[in-house]
Amino acid sequence: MRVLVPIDGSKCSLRALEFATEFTSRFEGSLHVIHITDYDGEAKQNLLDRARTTLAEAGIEDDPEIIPITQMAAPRYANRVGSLILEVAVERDYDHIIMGHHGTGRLGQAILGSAAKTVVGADEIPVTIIP
Amino acid sequence: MSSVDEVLVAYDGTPLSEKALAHAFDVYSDASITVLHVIDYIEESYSAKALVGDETLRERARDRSAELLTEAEAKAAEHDREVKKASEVGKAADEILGYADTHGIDVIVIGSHGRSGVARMLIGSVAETVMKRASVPVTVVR
Repeated sequence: MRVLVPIDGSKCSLRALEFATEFTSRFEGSLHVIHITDYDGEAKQNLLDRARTTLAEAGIEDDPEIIPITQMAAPRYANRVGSLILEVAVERDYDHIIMGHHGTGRLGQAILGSAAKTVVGADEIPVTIIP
Repeated sequence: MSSVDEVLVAYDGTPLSEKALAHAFDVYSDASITVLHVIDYIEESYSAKALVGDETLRERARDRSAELLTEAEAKAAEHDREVKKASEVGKAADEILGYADTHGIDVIVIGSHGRSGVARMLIGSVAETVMKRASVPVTVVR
């Protein structure tokens, strides 16, 4: 099974990454971390470093990847992030998506984040949502 | 996050719920798996109630539930696995969430649609509610 793990730096997405390492370690699976962002700065490298540490601790080989996106206003932005996650998953033939329930930002405490909602609402790939 | 010891599979006998069970067997080879069937009276038809009465209807629903869980047990045996069986009465999403909370469940696995789902909707209301409200990871199988 090939598992895709989109992270955005929220606590929830880091929990999703932890869960994903455990999930993948249970069988002959592989895992790939992506970070979709419109932001070009140090924070995103810090996030990737953090992800690399988590992966290394779990003994998983993966090089987390940044996928750029053009900036736009919320909530369209979150929907676009969700669509992009799906595009990556479908084009690259992933079998499972593991992601956080909600993301960062002011609307982070929304019941189900828009990106997660978009991914869950599509009829394509099994998904695990982490609270 | 600690390791996954207790997995709950929401089961209603539909092919998707069988897929959810298979997913649990595939991924959680060393965890304990509970198969939960919820008897949802809203699904029972009113005309049936009028014809055979409440008690007969309840009995039928319980028999059907036991049958479904026995089927799940047989599927488990095909995978050389054992499952715990659970049957609850109520609204499906509420019962699944309640069971998970009170039984130390680490992961819930559910099909995107159940028996009463409208096929053209991409995600059923039960799966959606469970995902929105669960305090543990929820895997939606399609």
